[in-house]
Amino acid sequence: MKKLLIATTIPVLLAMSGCQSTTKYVSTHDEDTVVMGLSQRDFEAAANQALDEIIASPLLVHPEADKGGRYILSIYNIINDTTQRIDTDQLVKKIRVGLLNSGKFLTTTAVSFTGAGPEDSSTAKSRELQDSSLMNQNTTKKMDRFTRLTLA
Amino acid sequence: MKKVILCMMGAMALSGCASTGNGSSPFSSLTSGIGGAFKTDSDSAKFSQHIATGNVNEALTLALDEAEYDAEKSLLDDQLWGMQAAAIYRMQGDYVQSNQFFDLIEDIMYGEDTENMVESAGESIASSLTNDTFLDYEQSVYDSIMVNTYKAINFTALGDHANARVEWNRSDDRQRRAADFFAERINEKKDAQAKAAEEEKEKLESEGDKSSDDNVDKSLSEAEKILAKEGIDMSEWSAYDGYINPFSTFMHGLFFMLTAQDSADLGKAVDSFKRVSGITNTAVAANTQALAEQVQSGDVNLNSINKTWVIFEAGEMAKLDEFRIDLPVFLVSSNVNYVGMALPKLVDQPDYFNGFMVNGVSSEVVADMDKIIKAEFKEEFPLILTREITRTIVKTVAQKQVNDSNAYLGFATGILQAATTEADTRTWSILPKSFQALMVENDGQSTLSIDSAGLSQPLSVEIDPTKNNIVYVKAINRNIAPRIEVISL
Repeated sequence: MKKLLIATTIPVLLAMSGCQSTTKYVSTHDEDTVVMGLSQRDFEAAANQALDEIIASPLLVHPEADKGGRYILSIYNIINDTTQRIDTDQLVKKIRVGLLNSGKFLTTTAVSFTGAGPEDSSTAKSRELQDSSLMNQNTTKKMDRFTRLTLA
Repeated sequence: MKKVILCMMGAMALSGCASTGNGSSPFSSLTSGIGGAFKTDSDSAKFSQHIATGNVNEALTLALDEAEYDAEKSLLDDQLWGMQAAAIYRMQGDYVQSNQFFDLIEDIMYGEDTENMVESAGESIASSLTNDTFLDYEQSVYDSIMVNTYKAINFTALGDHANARVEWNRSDDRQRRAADFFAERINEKKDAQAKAAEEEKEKLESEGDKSSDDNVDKSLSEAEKILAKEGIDMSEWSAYDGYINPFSTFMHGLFFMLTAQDSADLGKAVDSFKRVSGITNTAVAANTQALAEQVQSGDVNLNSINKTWVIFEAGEMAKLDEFRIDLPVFLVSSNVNYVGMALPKLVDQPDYFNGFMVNGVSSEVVADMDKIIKAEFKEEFPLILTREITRTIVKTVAQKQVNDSNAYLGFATGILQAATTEADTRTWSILPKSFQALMVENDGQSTLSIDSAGLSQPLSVEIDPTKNNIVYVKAINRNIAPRIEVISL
């Protein structure tokens, strides 16, 4: 009987321990939690690093910065060349917001030189309204209103 | 017998964790497994029948039933049937649904790859008393490569190049790991098998059956002779270099060439085409390679390329079929009612099309799936054989012991043994016999005509003559009209 008890208890215990779930929410700021592979924190860190370097770069200070001169930056899409699905548009957005908040730059979504276009497509979409009969054309964006970009 | 029952209970409890379902009772996988084990074969046969007669929708319904898809929780219970369903969704142009299934399948594949020892052992115990169909379907390497390949093509067709890129990177990573994976996996399995056989022997010895020591070895050598007599000769079967699927590599190259964002992408494309032309020795791979190299060196602008690649997925891959042999089990007593074992063997499927032709250019085989499945099966077969022999001996010893004490019960046990003897013949059968490709210059015409000996009339396809096109044709048999998709890049 004892044998029977042991023989049936062990597998059941094993079965239960095998199925135990330990899923829980972890804060993205919790540095004690390390995950295998890339995580949200790695991406944020990469975006922050890029941002800090751009803001700190002396070459990106407009010569007439003291008179309110600002460089207008066009931001390329980040190509996700990994085996993980990462929303790189979120990273671009983070960098864009950081650049604007620094007060040193303006950014544009009017032009982008990569295939998929800027992560914010509202400028492109608003251009399409130029031909829309449903819009008051006096209030739509005109093609000749964009600032010419110089490539540094 | 009590031991057998106890052992089975343990196995049932353990195998519960191996279930791919979520939130179900630990016994559900075995209870469904008991039903499943005896009907698996007929369901596969039914599926093949639906495909053979051209009832794709019925085949899809069957696959969905068997996959036990839970739309609310977004869960798939059966990987194999999920793959069959996803492939049919892809055929029907429902790329979103297809990829949703493939995503779930990839999660299951990840689970199978990282399955822990306890779960695996539990599954093995369950299967040692029954048969391999009780084990969860374990994806082959070519399965996993094809899952990512199909996903990548689906994303490309949807115009989602960012996600397609991720999938191509995944499929490429799987290809890269294939050779290592095989070497490692086979060694691991051999060790585990040897250990299991050792334990079985010890168990049998402790039961006073001293002669069982030699049973596995003797039976194995006898079985090999019988296999030779059955005409099963795998000596000619060999893998593509590195166990890769050159079709996947070819499409990987095509994607990175046609959607190149930078020179690194062109480098990837050139490497892929080099590999495929080295392995397959085909003009389509060599010509596309030359083109990619010209773009890479800057001699040709990517925008000035104006070609159409036509890809064919033809026929059905070789299928596993069961054959039974009488096993010469060297037991001291002949007091047993049934000693037999069931093994899988590969059966080639007919080639209905025998090549395709567009504008005078003939298609070439860039991947022979029969070759791929055979190479992988060849690696697996010794393990399947050893497992089946060990299993047959365990079952037969149990049968003999019961028969010794009660002839009626022994007879019943014999019937049970016969009923639980079944070969695992599960394969992703909707995969084609071969992948073929050809490249033609766009001549300004917006219609492309595809001809083949297997087609009653040439297929007419609308393409965009101003762009590069990938025309993808899946032609299974003469009863199903070929499915055509055009991706203009």
